[in-house]
Amino acid sequence: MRLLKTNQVSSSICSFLSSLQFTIVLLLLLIVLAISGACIPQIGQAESALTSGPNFEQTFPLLARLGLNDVFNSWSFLICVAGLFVNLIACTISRMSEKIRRRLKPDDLLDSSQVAGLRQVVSFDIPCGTASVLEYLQSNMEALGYKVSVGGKCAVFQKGRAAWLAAPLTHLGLVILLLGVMISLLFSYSGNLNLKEGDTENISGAIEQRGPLAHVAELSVKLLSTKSDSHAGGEPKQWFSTLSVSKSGKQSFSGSLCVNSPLTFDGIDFCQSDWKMAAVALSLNNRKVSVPLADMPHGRMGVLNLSDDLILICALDGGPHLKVYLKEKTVSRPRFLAALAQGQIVPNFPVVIRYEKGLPQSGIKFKCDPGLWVTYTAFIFFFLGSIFVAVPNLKIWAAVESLGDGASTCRLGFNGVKSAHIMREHVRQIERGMKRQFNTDALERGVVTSNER
Amino acid sequence: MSAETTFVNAAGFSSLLSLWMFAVGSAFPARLRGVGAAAVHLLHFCFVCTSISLLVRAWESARFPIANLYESLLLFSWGLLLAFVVLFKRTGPLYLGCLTALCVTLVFLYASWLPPGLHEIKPLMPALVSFWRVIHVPPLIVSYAFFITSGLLAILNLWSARRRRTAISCLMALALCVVSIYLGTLKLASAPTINLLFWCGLTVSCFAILLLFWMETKSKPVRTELYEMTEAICQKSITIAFPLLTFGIVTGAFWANHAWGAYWTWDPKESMSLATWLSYAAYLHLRAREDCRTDSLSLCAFLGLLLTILTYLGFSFLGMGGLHTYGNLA
Repeated sequence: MRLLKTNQVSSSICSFLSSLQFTIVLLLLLIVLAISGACIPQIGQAESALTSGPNFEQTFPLLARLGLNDVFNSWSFLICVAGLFVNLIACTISRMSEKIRRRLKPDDLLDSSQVAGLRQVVSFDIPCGTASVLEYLQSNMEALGYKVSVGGKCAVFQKGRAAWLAAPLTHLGLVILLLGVMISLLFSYSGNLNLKEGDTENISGAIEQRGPLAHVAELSVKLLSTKSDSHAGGEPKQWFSTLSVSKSGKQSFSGSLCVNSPLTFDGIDFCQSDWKMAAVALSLNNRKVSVPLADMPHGRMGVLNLSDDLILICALDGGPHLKVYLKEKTVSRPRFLAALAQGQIVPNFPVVIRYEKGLPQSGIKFKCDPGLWVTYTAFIFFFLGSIFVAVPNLKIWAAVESLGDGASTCRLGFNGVKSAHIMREHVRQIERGMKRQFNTDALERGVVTSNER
Repeated sequence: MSAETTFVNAAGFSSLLSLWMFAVGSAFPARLRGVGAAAVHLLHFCFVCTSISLLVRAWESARFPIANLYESLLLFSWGLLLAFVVLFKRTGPLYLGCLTALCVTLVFLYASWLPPGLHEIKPLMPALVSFWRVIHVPPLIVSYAFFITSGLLAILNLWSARRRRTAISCLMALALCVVSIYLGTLKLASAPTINLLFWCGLTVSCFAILLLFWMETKSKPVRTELYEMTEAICQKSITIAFPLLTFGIVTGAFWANHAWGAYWTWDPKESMSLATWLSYAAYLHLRAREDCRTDSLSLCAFLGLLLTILTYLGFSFLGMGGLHTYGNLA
């Protein structure tokens, strides 16, 4: 008795785990989490959104405690993803195997009473024998492109059987995606290099994310040169860098990269992610100084103390000229001195200030991800699956019953919502065709019954 | 006035005129049959004008015209008109054309509200200089157009299935979105106020929709010609849009890996597009159930409509940040 009860419980758990209701609930939960992840500023995101500003935890302590400022790493999100994976496997075992079996076995025919129980049914009374009706149906449905199977007084018409591939392909894509993500989490590493011309840095020292099983290559990267191309109005057009990569102390490779055109060496991708003018080189009375620049709303700016109460302000706003201002501590507004091209000197100023050159800094992102191609394969499966979603899957059952006196009743029916409008149109076409073919007033108008709940 | 502006204005006025003609034709279908037919032709003319304006802008800027919100709105209105041409091939009831004309008019109106700087042709920033821009963006924008069409048809479907109170609450939720977009675009309220209005209003609306739907589903839906037609076109629209959205997201991931060295960064736009994709995946799963009701599907399509609006325009009026800020108003 207890064994029976245990079996019942386990089978009901299995049927719940493989159910479409469970899938839909999980999808809705994931939608809610994804929306909160999009709207609430997330930890480590490039730009904070909405109202919170930098002190999210102080502004919204409850949301932070619920993990909503790091939704995609929270337990709730990971549990939903794990649930979806379990649902997928359970569904594949219970439903897909049945679907495949159904594809392989001969077509299922339904008798008249079974057809009457389908979601949508059309019934006709026809003043001719069952054989003629079936013959008519067969030829006309074939003309509409259906594959016809007839057995006794029943028939089934099918079209677009490839549509069944949509679910297996998408589900397989999801499994492959999870596999790819697992490989990435374990074996990948990535980081950022911020290099000035001539700088060399080892990538192992710049890693920001590293999987527990990742093997980091001993590579050092040297920035040979970098430049920025601008549009006529001064807006940045493209950033270029030339790198030299050395493996175990020996120069192995050198090449150029720009935004959207990465460089690959030894399985590591180098992307041009950022470019900025890090500093400007000036000479003050022939003494070389470097003024570091920081971001400001319309460009970059740096300051240099000339004396206790005099500050030199240097600003670059996208154009080729360096704008130089002088600020006295006692005066609130800085005074504009000059806009200098490279090599020019500030005129009429007691100190000889020459703008030597800008010192650019190139932001290079590097990444080694052995799971990337697995993930890409998953994406292709997703896309193929979504293409098959668009294939209409049509299946119409027919059953003919003899009424005696040479008359018969024909029932046409179909199930499902997908492509129901096409099947409905085809059934109506058949109905109109029959009326013409048998050319009789005795034909009653098709009685459409809907078994939709 | 430039050639592009002339064609955009012609498209805007023809959509507005066709909206009026559809409205008049729908009010007197028997007497003014010719007016409805003329409105359909006018909407086709609007499609041609929008296509030409996109081509002219492409020629003038010497690039594919997708670089900011204004250009994406032009493509979006083109997508809505394409949906009309593809889905309403056969002459259906006039109010179906009316929906498209209303949407296109609102989109042109919205585009005209944008700051003048966005109307100008500006050079591309380095991140956008890529062939992936042409592959990734248009399928997404066109899929949004088809999803919006399907969502509006879903409201009509609910109405025709005698789920009138649900349909009205759906319309109110939609109106809330439109008001928030209006306030946010014209900066008539601060970002926190708009966020508060939008999220509180949307939460209340969603609860109201679910409650009313639950109350109304006790009765069987009434199958009318409009019910069957809206159901069919709504399904067809989602069937076309879903592969486009998938393609757009997948190619976006390829591009992101190419440009930023990461195919997925949980950027707000990425997260929202995932939410939209999941909502239509839920729709398809629901449709796969043989005992599924069409009105439940319509409700799901409406949820998708809200998410599509949020994904496409949410970043402009709610001030969300992230890496996709080139679509913003600034």
